[in-house]
Amino acid sequence: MCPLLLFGCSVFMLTFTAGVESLSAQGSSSSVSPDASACRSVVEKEYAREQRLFRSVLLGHPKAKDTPVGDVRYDKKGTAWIKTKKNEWHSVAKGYERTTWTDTQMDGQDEMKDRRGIVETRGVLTSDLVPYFAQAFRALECRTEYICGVAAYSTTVGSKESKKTRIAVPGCLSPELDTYPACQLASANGKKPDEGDVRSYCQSIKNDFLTREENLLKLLTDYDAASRSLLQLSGNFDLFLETWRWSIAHILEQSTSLAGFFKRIPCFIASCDESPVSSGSSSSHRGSSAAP
Amino acid sequence: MKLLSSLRRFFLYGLITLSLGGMVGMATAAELMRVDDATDFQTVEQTIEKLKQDMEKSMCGAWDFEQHLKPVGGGTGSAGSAASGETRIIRVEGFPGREGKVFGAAGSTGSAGSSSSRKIPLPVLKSGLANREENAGNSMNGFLFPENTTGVTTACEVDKKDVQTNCVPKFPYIHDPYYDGDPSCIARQDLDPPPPNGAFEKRCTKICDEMNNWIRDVIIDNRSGDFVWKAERCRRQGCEWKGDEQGRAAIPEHGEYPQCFDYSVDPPEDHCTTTMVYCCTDAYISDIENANCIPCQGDGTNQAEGGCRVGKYAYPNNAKYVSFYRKYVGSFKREKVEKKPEKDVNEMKNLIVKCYSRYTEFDPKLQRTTPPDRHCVLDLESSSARSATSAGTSNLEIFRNMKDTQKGLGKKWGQDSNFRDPAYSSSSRPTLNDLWVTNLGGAFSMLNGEKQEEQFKDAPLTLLSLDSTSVIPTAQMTEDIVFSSGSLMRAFDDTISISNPGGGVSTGGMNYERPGRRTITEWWQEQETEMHKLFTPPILRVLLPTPQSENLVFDHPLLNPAVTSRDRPRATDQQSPGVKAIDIQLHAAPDDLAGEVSSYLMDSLLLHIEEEPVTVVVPLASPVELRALAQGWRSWGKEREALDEDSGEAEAIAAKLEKYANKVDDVRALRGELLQYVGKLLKFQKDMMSSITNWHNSNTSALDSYNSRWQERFALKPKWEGIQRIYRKFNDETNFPWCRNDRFTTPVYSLLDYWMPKQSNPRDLALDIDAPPSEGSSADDLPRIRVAPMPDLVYDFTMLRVASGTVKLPVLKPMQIRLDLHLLRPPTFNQSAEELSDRMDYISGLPNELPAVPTIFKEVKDKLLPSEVIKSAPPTVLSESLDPPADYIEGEMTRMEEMLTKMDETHKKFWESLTEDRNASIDKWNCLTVDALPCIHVEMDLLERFARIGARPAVFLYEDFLSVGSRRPLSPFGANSSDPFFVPDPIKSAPPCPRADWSCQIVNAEKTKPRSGWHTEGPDNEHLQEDRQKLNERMRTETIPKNEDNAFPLVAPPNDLLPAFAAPAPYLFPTPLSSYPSSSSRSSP
Repeated sequence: MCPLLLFGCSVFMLTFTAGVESLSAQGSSSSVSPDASACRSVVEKEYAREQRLFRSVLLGHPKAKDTPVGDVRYDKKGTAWIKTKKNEWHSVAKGYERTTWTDTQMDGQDEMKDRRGIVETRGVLTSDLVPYFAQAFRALECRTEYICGVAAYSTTVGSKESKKTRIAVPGCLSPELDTYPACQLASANGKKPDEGDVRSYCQSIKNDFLTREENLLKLLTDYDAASRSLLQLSGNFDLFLETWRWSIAHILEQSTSLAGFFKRIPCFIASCDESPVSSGSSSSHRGSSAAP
Repeated sequence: MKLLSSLRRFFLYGLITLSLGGMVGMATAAELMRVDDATDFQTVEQTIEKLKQDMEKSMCGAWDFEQHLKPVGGGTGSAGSAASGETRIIRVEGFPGREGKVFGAAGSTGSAGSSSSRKIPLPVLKSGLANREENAGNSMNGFLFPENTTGVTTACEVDKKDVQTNCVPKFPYIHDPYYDGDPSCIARQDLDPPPPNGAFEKRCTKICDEMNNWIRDVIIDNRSGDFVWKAERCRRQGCEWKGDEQGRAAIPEHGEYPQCFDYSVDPPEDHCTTTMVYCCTDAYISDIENANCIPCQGDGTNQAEGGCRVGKYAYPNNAKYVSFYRKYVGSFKREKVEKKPEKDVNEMKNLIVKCYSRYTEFDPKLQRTTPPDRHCVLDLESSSARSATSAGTSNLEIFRNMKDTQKGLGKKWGQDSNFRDPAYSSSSRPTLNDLWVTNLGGAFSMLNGEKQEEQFKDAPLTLLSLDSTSVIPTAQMTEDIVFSSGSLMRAFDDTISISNPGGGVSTGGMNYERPGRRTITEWWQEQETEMHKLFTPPILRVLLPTPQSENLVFDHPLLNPAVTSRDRPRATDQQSPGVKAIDIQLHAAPDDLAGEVSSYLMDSLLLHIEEEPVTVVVPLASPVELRALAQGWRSWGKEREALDEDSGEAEAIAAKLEKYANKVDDVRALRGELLQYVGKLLKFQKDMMSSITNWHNSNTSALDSYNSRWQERFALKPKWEGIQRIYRKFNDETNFPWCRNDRFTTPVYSLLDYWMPKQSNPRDLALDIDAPPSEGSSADDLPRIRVAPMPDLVYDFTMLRVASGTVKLPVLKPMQIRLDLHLLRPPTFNQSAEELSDRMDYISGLPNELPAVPTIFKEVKDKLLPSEVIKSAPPTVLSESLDPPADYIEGEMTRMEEMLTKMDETHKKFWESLTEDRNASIDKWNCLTVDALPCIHVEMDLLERFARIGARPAVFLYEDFLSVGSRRPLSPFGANSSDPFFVPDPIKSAPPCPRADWSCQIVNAEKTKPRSGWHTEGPDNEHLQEDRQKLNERMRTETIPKNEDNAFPLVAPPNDLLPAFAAPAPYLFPTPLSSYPSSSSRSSP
């Protein structure tokens, strides 16, 4: 259990750290006036980020230089960047249309650090990875709870700047998180329906989100198990095909020569030369002796 | 002559009777016996039973090892006893010819029990026929002339026309078949009508008396005995001399010759006498011992009175008497072969032969016989031609019954012999170091544990590694590997010459010239081997890939152009499906076709296609909704105007919205993008398929044409079969009138005449057989062919490696984002233009047109797909051809046929002369035509001929078994092979087949070419990568709306749209950690 715990702990802490980063990064923007739809947008963005983070834990997040052209990444501010060429990253966000980042810059501004995914672990069976999948999912559940908690708390914050708060979720850590300025309805005389909207919306998409991620995780596990089995099988099957083909096909190929041999087995009978085709004229064989 | 007699009979059942080691002979030609296929052991047993019964039915043959040629301690035959030294080899007496020597140097007749005298020298065993006695006889050249010969000799010369022409009957000058083809003893003009049967002999004796009637008138001086006058012409006694044309008197008066008179007395005494003398000898007619024609007897070599062979000199004119008619009465005798046949005719007497011609002596071995030489006829019917008592059957009857009397099988076929049973060697090479060991387990192969550990880690794979084995059909190779020792029994023919009076190798008291060589036998066996090579032309085998196995469907309708169907069948209907166009009628909707094309391309193995998504953003809006919005704006505008207020740009906005509505459905054009360029891939596919198909077809047709020419090779085979049939007929019918065994008799060289090449003298028995055959031989050589065997060829085209690269096919993935209609909503009617000015400005600032529908097909078609299919050289196309047989071969075969036909006829005449119907034309029995039945026997080897006639029956005795040849060399390519034509090229040469004893069926070598086939390579994607990226970028920049204020209002901001443009990362299979290389890891670039 020890390595499990350690690994799980390291996963946990990584997510924790990354989550803290991202949550705090998001919280600093204050250019939008707080209302229900803005809060919804913020919550959705948070969920999107969580999803990206979760996916990166499962599947890995390579360095910018290792990604193929066409890969899309998010920086700390939430802007999407696309790799148009080797070592060139562009964005379509406002103000960044003409900016080009290099791989190093992208790595520096990336919302998450590069990491290896759980599925990239080699030399293990999928069953061995399942506890880590489960642990990552548990972390995801905790973090989505935080989001809803923060959003709910943010509605009560009266100021325009974000505050720090601690959300207590049973079974999870209690990190200190920033509130969402776009949800700080109290500062903008938000109405009760808005607050209700924020809370209920967050809960409903949280449930949907988790269900979806859970099903996707199951699918991923199935797929991973299948691909690992396939890898095992393919190696053996390759070998089998090679040796088997030689054994069988070689024999079959030699049978073509054997066909020739069988046709030509030496005939120890002198009358072998007389083919059956001319058996009509073999009646001369049945002639009687010379004397009448 | 018994060419290959023993050899053939062995091989008739050789395969099945290996363990029986027997021999079967038949007086009639063999009928082919069909045996069932050996499907199980019971069938094999039944077949063996059938064969045994069949062999029991045969008339003669098999072995009797306990009987010897020279009986030990005394024979039990009635004809002779051991004390007389009789053997089972025939002894002939009373005929001219040469005897044969079989046994050892001493050969004394008295010591029958001594081993040295029973030993047969090796050259005789190797030849199969006896050594010819060359030192006996009066002339010391081996020629014997019987003393009991009777005949007629004359001193008169041939064609002497020194006769009176006006005095009939004419002088019976001796015709001679040597000179004018007429028979002797009769004048040609007297042949009409032909004399009755038997009259000929009488004619010959009568002619003698007739000849003695011819005298010459002379005047002799009594005192000296000299001739004073001699008539020029002879005349017949009693024929009056009338004088000649010149008016001379017949006989002059004595007075014309003063020397007749003695003038010392008066009157003068006449001492001359007119008298008659014999015409040809000048002897007084009272001296009958010197008559024109006197009978003869015996040899006459060292006798004053002369004989039939060497006549005396006449007195007084020393003319030599030459015999023109001889009668021989001979007999033969040998020990009986015991038990079977029961009625073995081992002795015949009073065999009468009459020869009608002037006696000419020559050695048939050195001089070829010509038709005039065949002037002897057998008299088998006259009352004295009886072997036993005078009341018994005539010799003719005996000969006619020989086929019944000589029948009889020997005791065994070797079942109880003391010779080893042939043993099959179970393995020819030791397998103790192989994976599968066969030496230990008997019928099982056992696994070698050490080898298994070395080679295989996993046990199951051992069972998959089959052991390979070589199949080598072997002939008899060594002493230890005995398959059929009987197959080596030596065949023989009349070209054997062992002893040479002049030279040769001298061993054991005999001189050996060409020991063991038999020209015709060797020639025939060599030609059988060559003919077999000729008629086993090399076979071409081609392994082609089955199209279905590689999912190559040659006749897919998508790849063949659409052709309207016709009612009449066209010529192309006969072609193979690979090239035929198939009628299709396309009624497919575009979607269906696209789907079909895509699925076809996905299934194809030649092209590996991957889809590469190209994302584009297109606005989504319902034209109905847009029109509704436009209508809303318009209504608001009307309202304002109705209230006399400014409507602002409502109309323009409405118009703009309507324009949007018209164009918003244009995005449907995106559907057709894929179809525009996917056809190019189909074309590639078609190119590849047609290349492979054409290659496939050209190989198939090359194979077909090769095969048809291969069949043409056999055009000559019926001719060869005909030749073999002649030979077989000769061996089984013509030369086998009854069960006989010629072994150890003397060769009859005169039987070689006419058909054996080289007509000049002296006789050439060797006929240059040792020289290699040339293409097209002259009439003086034996007809021979020589064929170089070609190896079989195996082509393996099954190597097909499918595409290693992929073609990336860009496929548009449109992302439809809704327009933010909220921004375009018409105002409520109570809002004024001033309130809406911002909004109206905003809407007016929107572009007039919807963004253009992005299009990629041109770029894809021109730049992003590979441009062409590059074909390197295809794998081999067969170009093998088979030449027809060389021109000279047919000519040689014709010559062979003629030669063997004449050989058959010669022997047929020989045997028919013994049994022919004597009541046929009486013309024949008078030897009127020489060299026609029955007057076909040569005088000089009558002794050999009768030795041949009376040879022992066809039961193989002990010594027959010793007359064997040599075995084939063990190594197929040994340097010391006995084949003089051996050329050391393993593929193109045949293993040595010594023609002295073997006629082989050479199996062609096989040459396998290395595997070849097709390999498809995908395009090099590197340089296309950049273009694809450019395309992606273009799509992105064109379709993602800018962050400007008058950018198209979509519900999602550009930042949210960007992730949709992410290209999916390829999945990289991790390389395995184990040592087995995985060839299946394929990472797309």
